[in-house]
Amino acid sequence: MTTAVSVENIRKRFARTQALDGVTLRLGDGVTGLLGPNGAGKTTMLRILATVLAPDDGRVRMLGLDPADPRERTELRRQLGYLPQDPGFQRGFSVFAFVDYMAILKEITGTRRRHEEVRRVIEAVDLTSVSGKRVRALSGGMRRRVALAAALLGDPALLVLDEPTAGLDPEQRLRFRELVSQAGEGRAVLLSTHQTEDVAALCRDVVVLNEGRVLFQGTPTQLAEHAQGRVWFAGERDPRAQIAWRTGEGLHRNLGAAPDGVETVAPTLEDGYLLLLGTRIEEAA
Amino acid sequence: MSWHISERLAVAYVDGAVDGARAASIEAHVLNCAACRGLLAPAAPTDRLAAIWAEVEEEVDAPRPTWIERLLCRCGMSAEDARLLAAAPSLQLSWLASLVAVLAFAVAAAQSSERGALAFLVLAPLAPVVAVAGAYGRGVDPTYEVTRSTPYPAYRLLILRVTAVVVVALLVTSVLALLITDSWVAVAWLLPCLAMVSLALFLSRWIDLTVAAVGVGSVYVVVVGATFATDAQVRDLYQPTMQLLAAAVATACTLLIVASPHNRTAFRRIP
Amino acid sequence: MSTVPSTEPADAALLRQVADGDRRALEQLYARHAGWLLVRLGRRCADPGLVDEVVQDTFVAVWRSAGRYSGRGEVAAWIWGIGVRRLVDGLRRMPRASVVAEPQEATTEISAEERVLLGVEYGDLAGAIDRLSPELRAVVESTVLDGLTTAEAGRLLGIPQGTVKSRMKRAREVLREELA
Repeated sequence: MTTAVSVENIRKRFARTQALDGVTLRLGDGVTGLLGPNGAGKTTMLRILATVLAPDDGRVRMLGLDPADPRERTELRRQLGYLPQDPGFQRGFSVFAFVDYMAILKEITGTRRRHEEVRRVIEAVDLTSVSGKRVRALSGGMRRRVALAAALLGDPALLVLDEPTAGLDPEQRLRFRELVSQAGEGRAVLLSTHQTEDVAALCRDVVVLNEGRVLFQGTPTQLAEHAQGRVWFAGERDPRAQIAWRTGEGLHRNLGAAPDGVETVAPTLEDGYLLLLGTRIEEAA
Repeated sequence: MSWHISERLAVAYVDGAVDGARAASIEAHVLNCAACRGLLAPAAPTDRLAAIWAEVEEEVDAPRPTWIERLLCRCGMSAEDARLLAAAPSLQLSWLASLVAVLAFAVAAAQSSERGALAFLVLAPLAPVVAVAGAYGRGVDPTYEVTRSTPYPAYRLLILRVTAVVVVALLVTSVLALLITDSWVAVAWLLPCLAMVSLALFLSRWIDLTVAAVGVGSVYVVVVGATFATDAQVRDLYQPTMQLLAAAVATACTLLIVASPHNRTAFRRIP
Repeated sequence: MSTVPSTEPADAALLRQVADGDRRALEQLYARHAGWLLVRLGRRCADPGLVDEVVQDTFVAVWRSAGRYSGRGEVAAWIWGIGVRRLVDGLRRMPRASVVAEPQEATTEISAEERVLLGVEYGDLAGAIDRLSPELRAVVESTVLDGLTTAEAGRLLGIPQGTVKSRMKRAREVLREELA
């Protein structure tokens, strides 16, 4: 696995909050998920990788380039696609006009060539039938796809997506996941989410971030295995469990140190994730 | 419909080997029969059809340039730069309309009374400053975040947009100022305006442009307000000595912006 | 004989989608209609460059004015109306190209069955029209079949409107004599 992104000991502080506190990770091709609760530092990390923000400390190396150097940063931006949280669009712009505008910012030269590239990415996200419509008149899911099309301009080697499925209904989320999955072939994709289903469905690798620190980096299977032997069902909430909740069938799913003799069940990704976070909370308490 | 064309007849028709009434018959029939249209389609010259479609696509998709873009292109700017400029939020019709409305009100006030003239003198320099605040920045440009991740130099975008916005705002204000009979009021607003705009632009290197412009504008409003409150003559703020001071600030800021090597690098496009 | 599958949208539905700004629907309409339009226009104008331009302008016009389709009559006929008028305008700007394409010698043998069917469709009229002189046949085709006014037919054929009218009158006389 070739390393597309290598981040070492990144630190970033905003006023009184330490958003990132010594983050080190490596990303290769395929889709990597950045999982963590709100405030974990995911957006800050992604903004640093999108070259929109500079870290206070630490080394970043992307596609063999150093974003701290202006010349290399510009070169890096040519191979980068970024979909921010809550993407914005100018008033009155049609889908085509908006993506064309972004294509100009991405310095795709030649009007005809640029328009063909715009058509290509609009087709890739299946929005050709609405390319003449105003972006602001479209649904949230379709607007997100417009922003994804813009991120795909120029066929970038690295895609950075900040909570791309947030606020979408299940059908829209499914379509978006398909697009991201396709986009992940032949390039490195980093997407942040606080929903484990996204990770389970899409990601080859997952990084768990909490309070500015990396708690885990590995495959989704490994994350699930973290809860191996620590998940059991009971008729009610077990006081010995770290975390427990009532499932739809009326039983309680308990996570934690399983008592002797109790039959444990196969853990899911969510179980591993919750226990990982739960452990952290317990240590702090 | 009982009669349809055969494949052979379709090919013959396309090749021009069918004449007179037979061709007319085919043509009349094709207008009403989708199946026979389907037979003709593959026989027709596909290269020409593909080339024509590429042109149709281009004409249909290409966004129509706005009046600002057309104007900028006629002044020699590239179509791409013009598009980037024209997307400045404060160049939209709604912003400009509000600007014109406020200024028109001020002009009317100036024509009616001495105090009205003062109102114009205070408001007019602010109009371009407000327009500059709306030209570029996190708070006003909905695509600010994603723009920062593109290779296009952000500083270049800022400067180009501010220039366009300032030119338009100055033109609008000047034209409206021409309607004022008091010739001194009609020009005394210009230098203070230029001073504020260039100061905001100078500060934008370190702070967000919107913040800089609003900050500079606010300081101006506070100074005017304080002068008013202390019963000093607001008119004195626009006397020749103050005009000279404004001119000095404007020149100094402009020179500092243009001569700064950091700015020159940030402005240039890296190939 | 192939029939249009019933699952595909009808032309009128596609045109409504085009009016709604659906670019893909325009592409489908183009695939269905540009071919016959190109050939039919090419039989009235010998300049392929002008014909290509007219087809292009026609479909751009379809995109822009799709909402104005009244819903009555075939979409194909509506498209033809736009196209032939653009051709006439184009020829007005470039009078040299107004040579109407003369068909080659009919090289295909039409089958006996086709001959009979054609006869059923037009009766003796087809034969009678064929026997008209080229000038008279041209005015009959452009006014009756292409749906042009006498003024437009004049521009298409490069003759004055008065001549169109008198030739139509003459053609009617000849046909009436023949078919009586």
